[in-house]
Amino acid sequence: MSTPGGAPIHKDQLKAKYIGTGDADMTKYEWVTNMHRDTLASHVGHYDQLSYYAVAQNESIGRVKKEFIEKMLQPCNKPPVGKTVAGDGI
Amino acid sequence: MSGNAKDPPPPPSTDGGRGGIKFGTDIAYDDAYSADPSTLAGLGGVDDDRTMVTSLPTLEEERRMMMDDDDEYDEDNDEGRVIAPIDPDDVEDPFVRAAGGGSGGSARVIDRESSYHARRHDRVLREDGSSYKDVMADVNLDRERRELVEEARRELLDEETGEFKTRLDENGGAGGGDGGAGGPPVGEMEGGREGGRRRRRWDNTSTITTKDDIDGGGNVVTDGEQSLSGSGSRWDDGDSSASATSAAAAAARRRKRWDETPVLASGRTGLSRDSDATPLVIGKGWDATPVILSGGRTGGGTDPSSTPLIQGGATDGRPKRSRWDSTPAPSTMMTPLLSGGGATPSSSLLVGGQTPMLTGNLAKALLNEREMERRNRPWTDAALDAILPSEGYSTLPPPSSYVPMRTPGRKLLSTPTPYGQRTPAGFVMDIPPEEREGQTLQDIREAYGVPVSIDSRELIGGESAAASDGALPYIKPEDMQYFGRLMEDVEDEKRLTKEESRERQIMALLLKIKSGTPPQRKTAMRQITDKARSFGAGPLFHQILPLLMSPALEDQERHLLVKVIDRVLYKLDDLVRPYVHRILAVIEPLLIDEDYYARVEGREIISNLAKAAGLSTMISTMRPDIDSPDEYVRNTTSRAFAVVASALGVPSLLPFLKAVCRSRKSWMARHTGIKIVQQIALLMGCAVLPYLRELVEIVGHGLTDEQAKVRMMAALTISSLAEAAHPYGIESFDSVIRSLWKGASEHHGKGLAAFLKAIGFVIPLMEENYASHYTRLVMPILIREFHSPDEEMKRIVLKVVQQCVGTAGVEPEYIRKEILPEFFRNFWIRRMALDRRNYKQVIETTEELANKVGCSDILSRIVDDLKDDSEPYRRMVMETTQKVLESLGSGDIDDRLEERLIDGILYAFQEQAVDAGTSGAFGKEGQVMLDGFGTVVNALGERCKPYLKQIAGTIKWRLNNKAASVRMQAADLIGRIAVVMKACGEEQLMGHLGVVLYEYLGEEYPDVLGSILGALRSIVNVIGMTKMTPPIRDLLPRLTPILRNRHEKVQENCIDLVGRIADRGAEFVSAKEWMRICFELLELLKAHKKAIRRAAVSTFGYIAKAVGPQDVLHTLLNNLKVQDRQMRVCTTVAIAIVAETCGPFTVLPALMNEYRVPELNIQNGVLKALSFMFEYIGEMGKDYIYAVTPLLEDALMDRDAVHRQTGCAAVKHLSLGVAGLGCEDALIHLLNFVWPNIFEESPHVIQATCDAIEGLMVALGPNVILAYTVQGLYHPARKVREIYWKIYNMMYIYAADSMVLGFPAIEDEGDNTYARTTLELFI
Repeated sequence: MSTPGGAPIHKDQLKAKYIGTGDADMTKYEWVTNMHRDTLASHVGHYDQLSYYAVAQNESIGRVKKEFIEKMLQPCNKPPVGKTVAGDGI
Repeated sequence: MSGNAKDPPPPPSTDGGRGGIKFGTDIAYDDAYSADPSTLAGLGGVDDDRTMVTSLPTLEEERRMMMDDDDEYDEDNDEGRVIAPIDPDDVEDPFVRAAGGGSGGSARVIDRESSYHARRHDRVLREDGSSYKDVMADVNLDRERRELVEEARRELLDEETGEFKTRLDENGGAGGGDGGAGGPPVGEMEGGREGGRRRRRWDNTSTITTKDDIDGGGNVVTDGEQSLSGSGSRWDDGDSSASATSAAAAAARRRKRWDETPVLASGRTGLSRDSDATPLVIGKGWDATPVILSGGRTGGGTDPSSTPLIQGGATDGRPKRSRWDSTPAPSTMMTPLLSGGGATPSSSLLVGGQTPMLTGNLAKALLNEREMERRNRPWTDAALDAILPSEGYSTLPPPSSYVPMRTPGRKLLSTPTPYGQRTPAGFVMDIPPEEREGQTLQDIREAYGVPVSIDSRELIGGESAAASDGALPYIKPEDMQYFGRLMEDVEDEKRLTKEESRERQIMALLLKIKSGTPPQRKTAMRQITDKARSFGAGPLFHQILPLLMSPALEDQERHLLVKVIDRVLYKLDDLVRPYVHRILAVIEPLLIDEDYYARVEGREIISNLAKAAGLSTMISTMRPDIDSPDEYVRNTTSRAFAVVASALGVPSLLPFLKAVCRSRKSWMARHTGIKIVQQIALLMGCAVLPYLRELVEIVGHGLTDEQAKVRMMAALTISSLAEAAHPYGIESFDSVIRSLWKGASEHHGKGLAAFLKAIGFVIPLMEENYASHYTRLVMPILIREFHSPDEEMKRIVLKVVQQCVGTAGVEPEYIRKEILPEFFRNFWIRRMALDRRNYKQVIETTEELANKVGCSDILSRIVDDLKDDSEPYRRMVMETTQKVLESLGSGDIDDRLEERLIDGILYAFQEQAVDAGTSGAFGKEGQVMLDGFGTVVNALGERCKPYLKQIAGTIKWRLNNKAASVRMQAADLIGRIAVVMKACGEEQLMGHLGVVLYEYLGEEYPDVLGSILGALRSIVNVIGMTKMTPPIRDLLPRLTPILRNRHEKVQENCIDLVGRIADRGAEFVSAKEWMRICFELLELLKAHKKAIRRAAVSTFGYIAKAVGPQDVLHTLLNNLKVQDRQMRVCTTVAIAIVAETCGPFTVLPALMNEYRVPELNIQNGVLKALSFMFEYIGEMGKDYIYAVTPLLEDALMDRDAVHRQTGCAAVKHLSLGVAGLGCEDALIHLLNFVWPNIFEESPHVIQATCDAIEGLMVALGPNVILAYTVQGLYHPARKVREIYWKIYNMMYIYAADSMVLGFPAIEDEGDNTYARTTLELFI
């Protein structure tokens, strides 16, 4: 694995720098959680998308944004029981 | 020795013929003032001692030195130096170093140690109050004692078996018959030991051999005389020589390693060897050969590990054998070699003399010969007996007419050589079982599938094997005192106590680390790290530390041992506390080592130690050293403290430093405390800024200390702090400015120099008006000190002037009036040019002055000195002129000055002393003149016109000079001034010079020829192709043969010129000539220098443009067939460049056609060329993508991984080029071929595949690739998942945002809602 500049990047560094990257041991829950967070972050990051969702839900843009950001905390509810997930944040 | 080019000139040597003592060789002594005046006399007085660099540069200084190549007076040279009195014991045997050869000698740390550095050996270990010397002596004593006990025990044992007496007698007889060469009485040994203080190695050898001789000689009583003397083991040699000469040696000259070289153990036979000169050889070579060649009659090994030992089983059936018994009995073959009665070291001719001469080929030939010899050797009867059934066969006598073939010529090399069997190069077949040493009949029978009889467990040739205890590396004789015990056979592992076995374990690991092979070292290093905690700190350091103080330590070994400490420290953590002081005592000397890496290593260790042990331990351990009476200890301690401060943070150390610097108890503590601050500043640089105020306050009162040395140290520390803080932090120095000032006006001599230096560094931090004010205040003192006879003072004054003048607030008028006259009177004198450091400092200061007062003021004062008689002085003027003109230009030079200047440089240039002896370069001095001349002419520009004729005349005349260096310099000068000549409109003159240079193309010195070509190129560059004389059509054919010249400088300049002509004036030359050049260019692709290869490759492009691509391409495609990889790679680049310059369509058909040749290299070459081509042509690739797709398909499906790799590279460049140009269909098609390669194992292929996928990701968008990727993210096989996740991560890094739309929809599961509902919203 290497950075866009071509310098090799270690696995731990990679994870530290790009939180959404995964590895062969990643659970489904973790992966989908990352997916959701990426999606929500993308929504929040693009103002046009945000305004689109605001219109669609008939909410103010600010509220939609707040909801998205709050949802990023645990987008797919709690982790499945029996599987402790490291680095989940909660 | 130091080898440091930046060294100050060596101080006067008082050592009478031992060679000058260089940097780092001078000893420091503590109090310059308290020293014996007689020692100082040799230095020409107390004042002189500061002319020497007194301490070694720290990292900071090192960096600075590298930056300005300046070897200025070191900050902390408060201590004077005297030269160590020569210890009569210490006079070295001049042969020692030569004897050491490549491996020993200079590699040893101790050999290049100065007497100051050597003081580490005297360091007192506080715990038991003994120095390392004492400790080592104890170790020796201890060892001897142990050996005596062992010996006594053995004797007892022997007596029990009733053999002892007989054997001893026999041994004595052998010795007596030999003039006392046998085992010497112990008393004699003792006498020998007292011979010299440093004769430890020697002693050891003999100590060991005492025992060796007694039971070694005693046990091997096999076949009479031969084996009697056969105790000639490695250790015996030393011993026998010891005994033979010990009486004489003890009194006479000091004996070194050479003396231990072979003297025969006893008179008749026996082998002796040079235990020192060729250490590796001895262990195995000698032992192995005799066994084989004598049909297994005699033999054995000194190195019990490598060869199973064989002994005469008939006579000695005792099971217990020490390693001393197992020394090789001499074979009959040896005897003639050692025919000189055994007393002469004739075998050293054989071993010591021959081995180093073994070149690779000879060694290989020998090896082969030995191999053939071994394989073609007739089977021994014993081996045949072992295999063939005993009944039904009878031995036939050979026919009477049979004469064995004797071809002595072929046997010449097959005499037993000491160098076989080790590290055979390449593949070597296994030795057949019947020829292996120490094989029992049963083993052979087993190997050949012959049924085994029970009673046949005796050895072939009646020998018995000795146990081998794992391969240990060879132990150097010097190391015997540390590792000797490993050689003692442990009779019963279980009888060892736990401690003993642990000790042996550590010892073995350390030995492997110290002298083992890299793999051995690696495993040992890992083991010792892993087991560090179970070994415990004590046992580890008790062994490591003495090793580090060993006098025979070599650089590499020290590095390895330091590494061990580092690893072990990490593991031991706080367990290390009790050993902190001992570790420090050993590691601190590294901080002042000459070797930069040793210093870095030392810092690393101390920093880790500090982190492991904690601040309080460090402080309490090092506290007593701070006021040690020994300057060496204080010096190293202060450096170590600085490292601790940087490791644990300066703030934590501040209270301690404050207390130390205020110590009432002794001035030494205060001095060391201040020095610690100085070292912190040097070590940490601008990182001291946060604590600057505290640090300045801590040392501030030292400026008014009653001890002169403390005052000086404080002033130097202030200057270091100011330097580190520059340009910030003046407010922190407020508190000390008054005392600095007072000090500067009160003191004189060395003290004043320190204060001036501090002021010099503080002033640049000040605001303008303050700086101006203080400059005016300090200037009278500086001007007064201009006259100082002290060189060091001069340099400091110059530096301070430079610093003061450089500040903004100083007016030019003031400088002109007050400083310049005195400055030039005192410093622009010939004498200043003689010392390199003065020379540089004068130039720098003058440059700074010129920056303030302008160019002409300075130049008019010095320009006439360009005609001075002294060459160094002229050079100093020239360099200053160059620097001043470079930074200020020639704007304010009037006509008169201009004339004087040109006149001066011409004179200086012509009057250079020619160093005709060297191969043609003037060196640095000539470069100064050349640069100066070039700079002046370029600075004057068009104003040079009137002088150009004269200059050209000079050049022409010098081009004709006999000395190559002069011709080269003249040609180089043309290169420098060509642009100015053009600007002056002197085209005719240039044409003329061109013709002159053209005529000199037959030059034979390659350096000169290169310069001439460079000059021609610069002329061609400025006057253009059309106006060039000689005309291009004449010039180029003359260059073609020069292209064949192998000299790099010639090649580079020639190809540059040819390339330039091909680029700009190709039409002047016929196509045929260009093709000829093409062929020559192919050779240049092999050049080592990249610039040459690059120029050659681009010249192909120019030529192809000029004469059309067909012929050039043909040449290049043919060149793909060559073997040399670099050639092929360069050729592919050239093809790609041709394709780029002439359009891909001119090249592609032929190129693709070439792919049909069924040859790996060619096909790969074509693919590579395609890859480069697509890289160069970028989006033009869209016109060709459909054309090359079938070819790439084929390549990506090829069985050869390199094909696929190169294909992937081509796909990468192709896809990056056509991104966004609507070629998705073709790219997806290619992706389908690229994708399976992700499972490739080879790192190159996988890298290329990933690159191709990255490229396709750009062209196709990440979601296409994501669709491929999600298939494997949760594959049951981990290997598969791993690579898929790797690709996923790669995409995530590049395009996380756009992947949002491509993520798969995942169904909810239990409580978890996995659907991304927002994406389903729409209006």
